[in-house]
Amino acid sequence: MQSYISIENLAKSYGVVTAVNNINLGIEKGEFFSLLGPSGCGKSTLLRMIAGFETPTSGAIKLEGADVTDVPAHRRPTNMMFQSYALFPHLTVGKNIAFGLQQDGLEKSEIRKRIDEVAEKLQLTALLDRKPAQLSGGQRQRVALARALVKRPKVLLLDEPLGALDKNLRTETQLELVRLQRELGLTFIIVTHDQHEAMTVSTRIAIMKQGQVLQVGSPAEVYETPRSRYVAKFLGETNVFAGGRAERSGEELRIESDEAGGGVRAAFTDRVALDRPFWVSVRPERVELSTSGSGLEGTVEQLTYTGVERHYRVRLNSGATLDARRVNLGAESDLRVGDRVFASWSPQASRLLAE
Amino acid sequence: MTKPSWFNRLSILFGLAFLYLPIVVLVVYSFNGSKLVTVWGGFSTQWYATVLANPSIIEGAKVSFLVAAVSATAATILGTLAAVVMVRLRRFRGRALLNGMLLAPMVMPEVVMAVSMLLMFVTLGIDRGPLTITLAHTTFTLCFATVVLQSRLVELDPSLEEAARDLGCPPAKAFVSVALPNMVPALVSAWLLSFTLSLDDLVISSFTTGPGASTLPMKIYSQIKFGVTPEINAISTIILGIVVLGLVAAQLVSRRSEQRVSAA
Repeated sequence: MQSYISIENLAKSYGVVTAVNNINLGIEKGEFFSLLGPSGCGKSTLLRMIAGFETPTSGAIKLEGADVTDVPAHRRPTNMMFQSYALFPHLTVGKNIAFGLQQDGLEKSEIRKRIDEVAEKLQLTALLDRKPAQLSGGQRQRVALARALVKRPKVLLLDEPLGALDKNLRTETQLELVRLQRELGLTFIIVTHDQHEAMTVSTRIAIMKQGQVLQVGSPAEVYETPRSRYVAKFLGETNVFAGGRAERSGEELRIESDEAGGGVRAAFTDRVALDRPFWVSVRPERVELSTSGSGLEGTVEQLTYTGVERHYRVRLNSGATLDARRVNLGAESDLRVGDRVFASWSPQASRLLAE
Repeated sequence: MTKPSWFNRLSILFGLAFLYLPIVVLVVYSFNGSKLVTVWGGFSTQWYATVLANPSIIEGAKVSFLVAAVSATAATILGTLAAVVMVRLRRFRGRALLNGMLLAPMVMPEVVMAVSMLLMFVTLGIDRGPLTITLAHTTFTLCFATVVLQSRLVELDPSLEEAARDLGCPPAKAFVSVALPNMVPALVSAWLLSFTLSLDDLVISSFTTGPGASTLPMKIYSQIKFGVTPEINAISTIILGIVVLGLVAAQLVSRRSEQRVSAA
């Protein structure tokens, strides 16, 4: 089946440097899709190729089945919100928003109407006569969004759109973006290096590394069932141990791990080849610590109080460290630094990972 | 802020005197009633009347201003193109060479440039006159204009033009409608710089001129050969006045657009 946007064998190199390496992606209509990865992973290059600012070295970009690979930026039905916002300093807010509509040769009355509409939606009505220099960071961000949205693009591209905002405003704006996207029913593609942001806004996330897409899935999928060590570590925090001999009994696996210093149970899966090097991971919030019982034995080395949670760092007998978390429900911690503890978790909390 | 000490005040006074005393003397003596340059003979504006009644001087001024205006305009346009290439195309074969060649005329001895241009015009068989002076002036003011425009373009966010293109504007129009308006102060200063450089050039003009096309500095120079007259003082004061007016205007333009861009 043809996707709304399909990216086929797309590659981009600058001389000997490969920025994007043979990417295949399908993005559906109405999705809020994230390209997530560290800086230099090629996510911005990919977005800029979709916008038409970079020409792919090979491969194709299709929009609603039509090949747009060679269509220049000014004729693509995509609009972009820039990281620097790129507001035109010599024009007022109103004229900034009108700019794109004027290029389309729309009637003055129609332009007026559409500006008023988008200004109301983004609470910019009172600011239309100001210059960008007279606006706060949050206001500029909204103007940049309005300028891109007023063109009613098929796809809105957002390049690290919230990077310049402070933390509280950022969380607020993320929710605002999601609300807008649902309301307008548009397709959004956002580039971000902030995993929390990607989790908050996206319907699906593509995790990128060194020009390649490692995994694509809903926030829950990529967090709960990462397929590689890299994805598991990049999204949230996790404990990872090298796996050794594995024994299957029914739907359960018992894995010997020298690194963890004992046996670890996991649900059986055929997704990971056990005859090749593999790893077992468990999220800190799934680990239970007790002073008696069974599991991996160790000593509480550090205890951090963050308000929402208590973080425990346990030094296992094998020498490896294990992180565990408990939600703060008001009670004092019964564990102190130096206590002997046993760490355990349900087999369903274990994840098997390939390299 | 600490108050300036006596030493500071004195050094500023000496510095300013060093720079501007000759000009003050020149201006004062342009209003001298006496025919002798160094003897004060009472206040008079007669030398200004003499200047304005001298067809040769007026003719020279016309040539000078025409050459300066045309070459400054050409240098600003070419300088803009050169700056765009240097700033926007980060990597291309021969970039370093082009950069060096753009800047070389700033440090090249003027006589060398003048002789080489004379040779070129003679070789190509171009009749020497206002046209050749203008071409020569465009060449040597171009590098100054490029430097001014390049430094502005470097500061200008390249995503401004990308945003314009993204909103449906073809590349060339995006440059004109988004980048150029934000370069106005730099364009004005590049033009004024080229204009003044052209206006007071003597060496290159003398080499590249032909019969009947003498610029003002050339006229002044040839008059001085017969001794300094108060008339020269008057001409110089007029030129000084025009340059000062131009500088003040440039300052006002750039300050206004700066306020428009940055201040609340």
